[in-house]
Amino acid sequence: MADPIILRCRLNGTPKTELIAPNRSLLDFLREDLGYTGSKHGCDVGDCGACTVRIDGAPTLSCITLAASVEGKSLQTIEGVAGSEPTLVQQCFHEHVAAQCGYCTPGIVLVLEALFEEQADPSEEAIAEVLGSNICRCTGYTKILSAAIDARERRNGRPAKPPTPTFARDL
Amino acid sequence: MLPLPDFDLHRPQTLPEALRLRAALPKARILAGGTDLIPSMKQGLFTPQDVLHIAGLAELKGITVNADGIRVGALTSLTEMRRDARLATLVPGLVAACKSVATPTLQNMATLGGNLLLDTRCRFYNQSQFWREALGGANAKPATGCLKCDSAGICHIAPKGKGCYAAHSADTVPTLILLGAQAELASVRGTRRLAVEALYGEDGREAAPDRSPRLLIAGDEVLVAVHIPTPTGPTVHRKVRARAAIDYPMLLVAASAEGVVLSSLGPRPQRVTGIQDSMLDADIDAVAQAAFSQAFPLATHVWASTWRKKMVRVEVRRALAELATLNGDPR
Repeated sequence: MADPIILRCRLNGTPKTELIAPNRSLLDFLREDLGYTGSKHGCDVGDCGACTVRIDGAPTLSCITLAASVEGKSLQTIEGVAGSEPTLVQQCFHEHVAAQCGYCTPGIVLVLEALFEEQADPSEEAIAEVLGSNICRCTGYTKILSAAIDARERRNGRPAKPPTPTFARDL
Repeated sequence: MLPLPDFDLHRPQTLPEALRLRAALPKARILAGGTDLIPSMKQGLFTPQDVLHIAGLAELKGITVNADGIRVGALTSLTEMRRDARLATLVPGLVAACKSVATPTLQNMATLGGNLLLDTRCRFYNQSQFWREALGGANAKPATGCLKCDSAGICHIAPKGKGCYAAHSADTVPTLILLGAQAELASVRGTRRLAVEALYGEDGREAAPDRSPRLLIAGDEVLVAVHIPTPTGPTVHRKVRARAAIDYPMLLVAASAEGVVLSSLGPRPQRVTGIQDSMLDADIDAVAQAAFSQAFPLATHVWASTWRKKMVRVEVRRALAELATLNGDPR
């Protein structure tokens, strides 16, 4: 076993100092060592986006990032997104029922939060492009995209785009 | 869960320190963005004793533009390249190539240097150890991960050939070749420049006895930057893949006035030869036919190689039509 190393970083605003193995992935560090299980174990090789976290603001795949490489950096996981109330993106996901099994949802919420911080009013194409980072096998993306577009409209002070009724009883 | 093998991590903070470590540890793997190396290590393809994590080297970051041209540091992320207004004006084809890599999240992590030195890919190699063992029996040792390199010597791509035809999959490289880009390589012995085109050998494997190795750079060298001369005209980048995100290419075509480069067909990119000197007044059908006859894709991808060969003609035609439009040619 290689010698453990000291890691200092900020996680959701709180400073952390931990002893880690050099080959610890950031995802295992978050889930197994710190108990932050909001970031999900998906493909484990950087395809699916379920393990997305933000490092210094940029969405990053934690399963293919070494924990050692976040030394001195600021991390945000899904646990650190909402305050006492859900964010607008989370609220829209709830209203549009944009999650089925929910496994991909933390990663998708994080990439959308990052997109909206970077571009106030992104085009539908720009939203679809960042959603390409995350694989969802349940929803077919329709509800995720409609929730994201609703969030964009509402954060820019435009009228909400309510979800399309899915079941006959809602019509 | 795929565990990472055990290794010692070295984190140099300056380039001279990194070069000394590189010279002292010739078998170490260099880790930059990690988007190619870490998945391969998780799949048991590489089990290095030492990993040289160079992400802290400030000398290798950033984009500078001056009268000589453009210098992009090897650790510059593809996202930084996409967002750079100067690159968007000077080399839109290269920016399009960066944009076509994997996904926006992976572009945040992946570096230009890592894309240049990306490993070749084969559908029988880039798989988990479990998958490879199921196919190759006890002979598929994690030491190489390649069924052909292991003692059983089974290759499902070129059973009779000696070589490895794993596909060169770096999206930015065909465009960089047409732009006449040079790689700046540093070692404790000094610095040299090598044309990007001359970085790649004829075999897809790293250790290829009696063939030229995959990368024609010395064991103690580190890629520091990419230099691009100020371009004189547009470059077009086209990528064929199954999905519009995530996937590696199954065919790459780049075209400019200087010519046409194909990639993802074999272990290194290839220029289409025997065509006019300038693509500005080229006969599009003749160039597309020449590209088609020079393309020999093997079954390195899940999609049929016969279809990929046919797509060479289609995509070269599309690339040249796009180029003509950019050049204001009404064709």
